[in-house]
Parts: sequence; C-alpha cells; structure tokens
Amino acid sequence: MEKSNQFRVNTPRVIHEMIDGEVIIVNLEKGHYYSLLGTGAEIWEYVIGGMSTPEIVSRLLTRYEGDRKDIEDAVENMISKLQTEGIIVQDVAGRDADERLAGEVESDGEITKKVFTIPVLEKYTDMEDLLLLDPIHETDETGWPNMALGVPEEEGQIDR
Amino acid sequence: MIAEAGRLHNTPEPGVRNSDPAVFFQEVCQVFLDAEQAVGGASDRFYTLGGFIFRLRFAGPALMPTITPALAHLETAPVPDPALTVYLWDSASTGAKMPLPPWSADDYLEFGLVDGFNSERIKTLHQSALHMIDLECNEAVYWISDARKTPHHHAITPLRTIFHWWLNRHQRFIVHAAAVGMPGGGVLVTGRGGAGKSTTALSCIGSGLKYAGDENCIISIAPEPYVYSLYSSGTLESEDVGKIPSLSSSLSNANRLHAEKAVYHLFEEHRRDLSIGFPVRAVFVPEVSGKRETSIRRRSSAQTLVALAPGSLFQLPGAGEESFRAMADLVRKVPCYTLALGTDLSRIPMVIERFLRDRI
Repeated sequence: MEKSNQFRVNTPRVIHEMIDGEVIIVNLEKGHYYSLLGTGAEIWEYVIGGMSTPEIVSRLLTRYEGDRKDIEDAVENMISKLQTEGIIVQDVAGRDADERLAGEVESDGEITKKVFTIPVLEKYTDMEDLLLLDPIHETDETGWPNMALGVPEEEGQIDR
Repeated sequence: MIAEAGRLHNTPEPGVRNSDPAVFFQEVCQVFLDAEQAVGGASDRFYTLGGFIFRLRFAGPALMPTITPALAHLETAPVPDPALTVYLWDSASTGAKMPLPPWSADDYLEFGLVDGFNSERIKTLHQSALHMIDLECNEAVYWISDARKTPHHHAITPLRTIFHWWLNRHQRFIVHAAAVGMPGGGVLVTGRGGAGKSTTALSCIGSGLKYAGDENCIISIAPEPYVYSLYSSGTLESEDVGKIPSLSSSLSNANRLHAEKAVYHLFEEHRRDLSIGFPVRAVFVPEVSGKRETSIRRRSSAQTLVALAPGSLFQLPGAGEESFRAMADLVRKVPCYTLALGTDLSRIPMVIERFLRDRI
C-alpha cells in the first residue's frame, strides 16, 4: 500500500454515521456492518477527510503517546482492513484534506497526550444471509415463477 | 397513468416483448383492466399509511382475505386523489393472462429484484408475486398467478416492498421494529430476530399501552420523531403461544404451528388496543434477562443504531443512505435504552408505561 494514498468511502455501496464518537458502517452490497470506537473512529475521520497515511500518523503522534512504528502499523492495518472489506477505495482523483481536520491541528497543541490503543474494526455478518438467499423460481406453464423464496409450497400458503 | 377502460396507449403489440420498464408496467396495468372487466368491476379499499392515503384496487375478491386483514386498522374513507394506487389481482380467479416477462431467469437479483427493470421511476421485484411501481405516476401492481398460492408472509406484511418504495420517496421509512405507546408518545422497540420485539409488543395488548406493530413500523423524523403503525398482525415463535393468553382468539394459523410462527391478526378482537401512531419518546432494545422483573438501563445511541439499522436495511430492497440517516437521526434525537425483559410478561407493559408517564 502506498503510504501517500488518499482514500474515499466506497459509496453508494457503503454508508456510515458517526454518533457519540462511534462510527457505524454498513456495506449494503455484502450485508456486513461494522463499528469503530476510540482511535479507530478517529482514524476513520482522518481517512475519509482526505488525509494520507503519513498525515494520519503525524496527527496521531500529536495526540497520543506511543511508538511511531506501532502507530504506523496500526494505521496501515486499519486502512488495509477497510480496503479489504470494501469499505474504502483509493481516491485516484486526490483532494485537499478536509478543512475541518486541518483546523484541528492548531487547537490540538496544548492537549495532554493519551496512551494510544490499537484500533479494532468490529465486524458483524449476521445479516449477509438475507442477501445471499437465492430466489427460487420454478416456472409454471405461463413461464412465470410462482414459488415462495425458500418456503415449501404446502407450508407457504394461506388458509382459505 | 392507467386508463379506466379500454387499451392503453404505448402498449406493445401482442407477442412483442418490450424491455422498457415503463412500457412493460403499462402492459401489466392493461392486464389488470382485463381482470377488472372479467370480474365485473374493481373493489377499492383506502388506507392511511404514514400520513398518506393509499388506495388498494382489487379485481375480484380472491386476494382480499390475504391482503386486507393486517391493514384493517388503517382503513379510512375513500378520497378522490389517493397518494398511491395499488392494483391487485390474480390470474387464476380472473382468467386474465399475463404476458411473458421481458426478462429471463438469469436477471433475478437479491430479493427477487429484476435486473434492468429497476430505475429511479420504475421498481420491479418478482418473488412469488410480481411487485412493480411507477413512482412518477404513483401507481403500483401486485400480481400473483393464483391467490391460493400466496406465500404465508404476504398476509403478515402485505405489500411491504411496494409501500417501502413509495414511502421512502416521501421521508417515511419502514424500520424493523415494534412500537407501543399512548397518544402522547411511545417507544420504538428494535433488535435482531429473537431479541424480544414481538413478545414486548404483544404483551402490551390489553394493557394501558397501545400496539402499533411488532416487526415493521414506519418512522418519520421531522418535525419530531414519529412512528406510524403499518400492520396489525403479529407473530410469536410457536413455542411461545400460550404465554400471552389474551391473544388466543386472534391466532390465525393454529393448525400449522409445527411449521410456521404463530400469526395473530389483532384487529377483530383487539381493535381498541391498536394505535395508528404516536411521537417516539425513546428507542428500546430488548434482551432476555432471565430475571423475573423487567428493567431499563441507558444504552449508547450508536449501539442502538447497530440494533436498528441492519435489520431495517437488509429486509427491504433498495433501502439505503436516506433510510440509514433517518435512523441515525432518530437515535440522536431520542434517548436509547436496553429493555432487560423479565420472565413475568405481565410486568413488561407496566415498566414501559411507567417510563412513558414520567416523560409525557
């Protein structure tokens, strides 16, 4: 992975919301959803804000105590996982980092550094079956399928 | 727009398969007119959904016993200009033959969506029944070859996909949640399958709280978070039948509990226990506690969104960013709680009612 790469959210397949410092991400295509807390949510904001990997690492070093190599590895691992899951893709067009994030640098100068914790991408797959179900289409003499999805015909009918 | 009689303009010549979704939609509507004529006229029913009045126009009575019971509590007086008209018929009882679809078996996608027949204007899904909507003309069709072969779940949540397509365009969103409350406000109850949504909602029948749904409700966010009832049906795992004795007279499938969830149609016996909607004061996520008493504790908004959004998004074709944003706005605007369900079901409505009375 090129460290200077920028990334963007893989829209419209992926949607996301940040609520009270926690990021909830949904991959509509795969039926997976995710949550990110703490440093994971912070890295997410920087990534989708257009910051490159080195920029993210530099930013985290101003906010957290920790070994540069450990933080670099953590950021690269997180970005790699987000790519593998199809959540983000390389932003080949490139762009300036979000102005809001640039503004944060100035106000971050006096903060007390916290201990850096390794970010975790929590992944949930319990919904993917809904998308993987294959519609059953047995055709009748009209050429139209008339069987319910996964419901045996005798059990799937209505009382009369 | 569908003509009241006669053939439609732009209808392809018989035998010609047109791959234009809008033209195929008109062709299908023409078959409805044939069905209507064959049975001597259509029957209209009007329903209020999410604050809008919809018309269901049936060609013949075959589908009525399937489609109407779960919507009975929303029935309203006829209006000349409904927001959406849905045409419903089957071929077996009307004799109206459908043309061959202009797609092949390879064109079916997830949910039964048809590749090439879904656009901003036209949506098409074929899963046992054909569901199509023209969002420009505010017309939709529900056709099945034989009403006697209607899938079980089409009676529990009738026309859900068609309603979703239309409501989604009008800032109303179908969510995977139950709702109980009173005129001044209520709670949305959400969670994964088996979490206790239905048990919570159905245990409120006969209590001081009104029932607005156990699996599917409609929400809107502005001007304030509000939940509208969608169905007055309810389901319980068959092993839970009997845990709520007051429901026994509403059980509709007692002879098939070996193979199906218990299905209740509540309108006839419990119409006074039903609500058509109320402001949302909180979102609850139930979990089975194993203790006797039911209790409530605060829960993060984000984890509540995790409980609400995936089930809502992945049960409906095309539910996406707008719906997700509405659910996120909801959990930001109202407090969220875990509802630790006790084994004494009679205490559940009391705990929720006390919670609401402190906040209304």
